[in-house]
Amino acid sequence: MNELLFFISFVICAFTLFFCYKFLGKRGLYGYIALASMLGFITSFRIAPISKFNTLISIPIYISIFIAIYVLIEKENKKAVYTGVNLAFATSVLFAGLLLILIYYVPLVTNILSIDITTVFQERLRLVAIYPIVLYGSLSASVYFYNLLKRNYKSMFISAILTCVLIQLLDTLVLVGVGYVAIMTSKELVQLIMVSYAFKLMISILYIPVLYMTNRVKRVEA
Amino acid sequence: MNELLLIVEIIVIFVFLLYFCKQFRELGLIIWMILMSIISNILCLKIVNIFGFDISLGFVPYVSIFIAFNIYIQRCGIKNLYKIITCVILSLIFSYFIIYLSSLYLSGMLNINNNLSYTKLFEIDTRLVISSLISLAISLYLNGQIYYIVRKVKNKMWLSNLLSIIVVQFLDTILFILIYFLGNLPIIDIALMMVIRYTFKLIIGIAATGIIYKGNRLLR
Repeated sequence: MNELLFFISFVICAFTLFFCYKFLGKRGLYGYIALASMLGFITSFRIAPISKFNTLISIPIYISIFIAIYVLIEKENKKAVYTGVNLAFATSVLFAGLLLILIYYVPLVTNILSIDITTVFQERLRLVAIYPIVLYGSLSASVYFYNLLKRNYKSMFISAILTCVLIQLLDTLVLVGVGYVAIMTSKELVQLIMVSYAFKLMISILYIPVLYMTNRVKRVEA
Repeated sequence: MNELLLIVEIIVIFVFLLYFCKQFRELGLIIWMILMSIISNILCLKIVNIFGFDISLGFVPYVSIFIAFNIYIQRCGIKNLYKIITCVILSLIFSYFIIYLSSLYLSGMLNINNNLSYTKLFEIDTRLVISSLISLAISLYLNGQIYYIVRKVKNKMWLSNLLSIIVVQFLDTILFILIYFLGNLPIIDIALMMVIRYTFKLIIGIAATGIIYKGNRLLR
């Protein structure tokens, strides 16, 4: 069941990313990046077992942000790439700020949903604080490494995979390591980091055909 | 405490709106509308007491959607009205679907309490989805038309904003609350909820007139 949901999330994100670029050009990708940054943030609060291994369910949507940035690197100029990175950062900072405000509002004690929403986000205060920084750092580093590898290898596959191998390792270490440190044992934390990293690599490989397909789309100015 | 947080929320939202406007121009305003439509749907799950009234959060981001839209129309007119409304509604459907999928995952033993709270929180409420989508689509369309017509006739930003906010927020509040709550709550509670929600939205909408002037200057 969970495996299927994980795969469906990946398929939906892949199609949405592709069609955003196909029909709306780089503006569509900007919209997608902002949307995915926020949805990746929300879903990173949920952990579920995929093939008996606990992992973050936000991985398919989170990785799609990086794929969208790779498309911008391949198809657009440097300014467009940094606009995408800044947009992801601004969106996640805005959402983190609003979540912090949401947490500190005193809920009505008679309303269970109000207490639940406070609980979900309050227990992961560290994750709320660190997500925008990690996302911005990872995206900026990805842009740097992707460009570096692109100059040397001229292959999208190699650039995307090698960038992912390096950047997602650091990203997972910091995001999961800091975001979840106080709410699980160190053994569980190490397992979560390793499994999340493995799933990120797998999903990145699955996204490669989407990267190639999107790269073949003619530039559209909406 | 809650009143103070409301002021902080208003400041944060309008500062960020101006930042999006300055940094990402017209596209930033459209992205803002998309983001805020999703955020307001998440925040509205929490009910708090402000100035002695019980009210669900999310009305500040919701009003900011219309402020962003008014800045956009002031600058670009309504030639892209349908495209923008379609983009906002499709993005909202996409995000509902992704969040709904995330609530369907079966929980493991790791961090079980938090996972159960998350699932309960984001289980889809079909009535909420339908009421949000319908009221938002109709309100955006009416807002665009009213703002544009008043701008054409009088060419005063404050008047266009004032009239569009008064009319559209009134219809939006009635539409949303009737579709979502009718049959679940007594009529008197529904009427009271409408009055409170409309009053809060009206105050914020009118107070944000200065943001439209500032946003418009930033886009020049």
